[in-house]
Amino acid sequence: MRFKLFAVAFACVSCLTASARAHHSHGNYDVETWTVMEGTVKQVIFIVPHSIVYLDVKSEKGDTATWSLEATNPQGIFLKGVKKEDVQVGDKIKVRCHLLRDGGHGCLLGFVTPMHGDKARGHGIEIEWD
Amino acid sequence: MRLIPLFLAALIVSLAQPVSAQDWTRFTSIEDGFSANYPGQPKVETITYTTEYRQQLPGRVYSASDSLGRYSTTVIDYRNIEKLHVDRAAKCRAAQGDGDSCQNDFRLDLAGATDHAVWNFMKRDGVKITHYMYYFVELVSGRLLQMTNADNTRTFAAIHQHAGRLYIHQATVASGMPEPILFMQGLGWADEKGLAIRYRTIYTEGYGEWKFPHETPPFTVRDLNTSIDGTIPPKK
Repeated sequence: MRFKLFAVAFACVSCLTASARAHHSHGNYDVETWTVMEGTVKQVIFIVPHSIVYLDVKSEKGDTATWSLEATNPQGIFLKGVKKEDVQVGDKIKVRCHLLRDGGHGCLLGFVTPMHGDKARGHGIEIEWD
Repeated sequence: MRLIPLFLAALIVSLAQPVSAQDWTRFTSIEDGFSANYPGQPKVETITYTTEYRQQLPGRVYSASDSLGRYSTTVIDYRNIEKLHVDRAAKCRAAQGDGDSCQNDFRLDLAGATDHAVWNFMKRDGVKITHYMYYFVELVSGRLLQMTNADNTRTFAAIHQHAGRLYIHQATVASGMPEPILFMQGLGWADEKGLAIRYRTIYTEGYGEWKFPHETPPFTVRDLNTSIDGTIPPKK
């Protein structure tokens, strides 16, 4: 029981200090709102301090725009159990992210769900990339 | 009619192209105390930068580009700014200049360096600022601007002051392209060994450890009706 209490307390403190521990400010993103997008992976760049996923997303009007999705660093992604081959160029994925507040084609990940149909590469399983 | 297969082939090739064909790699400048990601090795150019109070300072621009846009980190060396202002004020006084023109503007120039750099973006013809905010990288204070330029290109710029230098980290991409987040979020601070510096509290140039509420800095008080020099007049 004591361990549980400690864990909860630690988690609370971690939440309170999260903004101060982030590599950079997130004020340009609407972090209070989740946006769900589905699209085709154009490129994944695993790089420090933050990896990037370029995603082609079709709008309601039918035109396609490439979005820049900001993820955490490669170690952070791989420690969640993601393997490089899970999300490849041409794969369909669904993401949950926080949009840029000025309406630009950028979004702060969030979560990624591969939708490519390959269960061995995590199809249908949502994993945090933040 | 024969052009249609060619067009389709070209379309397929273009769709298969990655957004950025170049390999993005981490670059570290120990000399200028920062690290960032660029598409390939950045070019380095030496420049002279004019401060708000008309001092000419040395700087370097690290730049690179890819099919998406242009990226640069401008580093201006403010470390000699106090001496430059002391020397100018002394020359001014020797030439019988007045109090206003001979004022030592060292503190103003250094404390306002970020604002001056921001203003240089804001005053561009036809620019529309779409987002402006206080910003930090590894807890080093700065400002972030996102803007649409007169030609509909998009520019993101982060401006920081750290260890006596001004950093202007900016990217411009064509209209309709994904935002240049890959470049913008890559900025970091390098120590003399090239290792990444991360502060424990907010770093603001010219201040000590950031606290809120903070201890009051040294100050004097005065009666504006009886004092002209900012100190309490001696009691008679």
